[in-house]
Amino acid sequence: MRCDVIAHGIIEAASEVGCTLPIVVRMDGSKVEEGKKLLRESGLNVQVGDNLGDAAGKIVKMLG
Amino acid sequence: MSILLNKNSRILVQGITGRSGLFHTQQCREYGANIVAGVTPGKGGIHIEGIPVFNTVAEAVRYTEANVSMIFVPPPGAADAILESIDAGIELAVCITEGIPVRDMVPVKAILQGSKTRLVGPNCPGVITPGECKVGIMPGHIHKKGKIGVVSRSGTLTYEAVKQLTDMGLGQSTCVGIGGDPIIGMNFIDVLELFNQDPDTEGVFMIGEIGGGAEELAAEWIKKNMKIPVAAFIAGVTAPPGKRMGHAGAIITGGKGKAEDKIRTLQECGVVVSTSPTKMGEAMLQALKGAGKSSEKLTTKITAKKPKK
Repeated sequence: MRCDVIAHGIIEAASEVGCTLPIVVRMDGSKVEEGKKLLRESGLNVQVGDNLGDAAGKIVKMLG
Repeated sequence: MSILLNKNSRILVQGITGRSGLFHTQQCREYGANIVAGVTPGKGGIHIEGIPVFNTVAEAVRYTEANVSMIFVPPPGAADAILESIDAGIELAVCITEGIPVRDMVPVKAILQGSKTRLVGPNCPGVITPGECKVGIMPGHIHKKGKIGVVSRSGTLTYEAVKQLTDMGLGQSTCVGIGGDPIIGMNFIDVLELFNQDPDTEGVFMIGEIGGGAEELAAEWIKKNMKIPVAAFIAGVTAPPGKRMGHAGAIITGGKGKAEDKIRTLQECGVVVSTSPTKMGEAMLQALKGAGKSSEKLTTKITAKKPKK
């Protein structure tokens, strides 16, 4: 799956429902840099994890 | 070397004219798979992307000498598609389709016994021999040619494991997704047996999950027969009993099929079990070291630069 498509989907869905909860996204695959950039510049309360462990750590930290 | 698939495999695609069938045919071909034919009943005679389409598997085999089939037929006709492959003498049938009724798979399983066909799946990502051939829907670029065999009931967890292995420099001989349905073709033991005989596979990573007793049977078999080290991960440690976790076959019923029991049995049989899905690569390395295999021989020289995060 293309990460930029996923990123657009997350941004669209979060904007549509007005999501203010923290989101951590772990993504990997084609166009991963574009996807991460889109998320970082989205203005949403979203962080990008480098791998599963890192992402799990980040969400715990955001909530802690 | 490898198991099941290599660069000489001649592949036909059942359901090639469907959206998924065509997309993944292109992806597999791009990876290097030799796709020689497609089969869609009623569309015989046309060419799609330069690949000849036939009405039946038997006809496709007669004209193209295909020996492997990749099945993308939707659930209502998928079991019949497998039977057609068996009937045509296909050596390896890989069924990607999810949602085939269990009732349809019962006769297929019976007919498989004593036939010359090996079935992988259904409800699986397929089989890949890195650098040679891909028959399935896995992302090719995360794989790397090497000496670790991977066998798994899960799709995405396989990709995660493969990525971790590749990042550590541990390439793969062949990766087999055996599928998440209650009734599947090849099971863990069938695949482990092939890896055990393959001179170029020096370790195996196995991914199981809750439901059924396949992991326990595999553990006993490993203890008795396996000549090379095995590491494993079992998904579903936190799964509540009675709840189906994604896969049709992933359900704890009557207190049987719990992750903790599977993990304990595997450990008792000498398998290194990873406690977290983020530590699968490390578990494999630990198993290799425990068996006295030098990891330097198995990992290629990417240790100089840090694995890309």
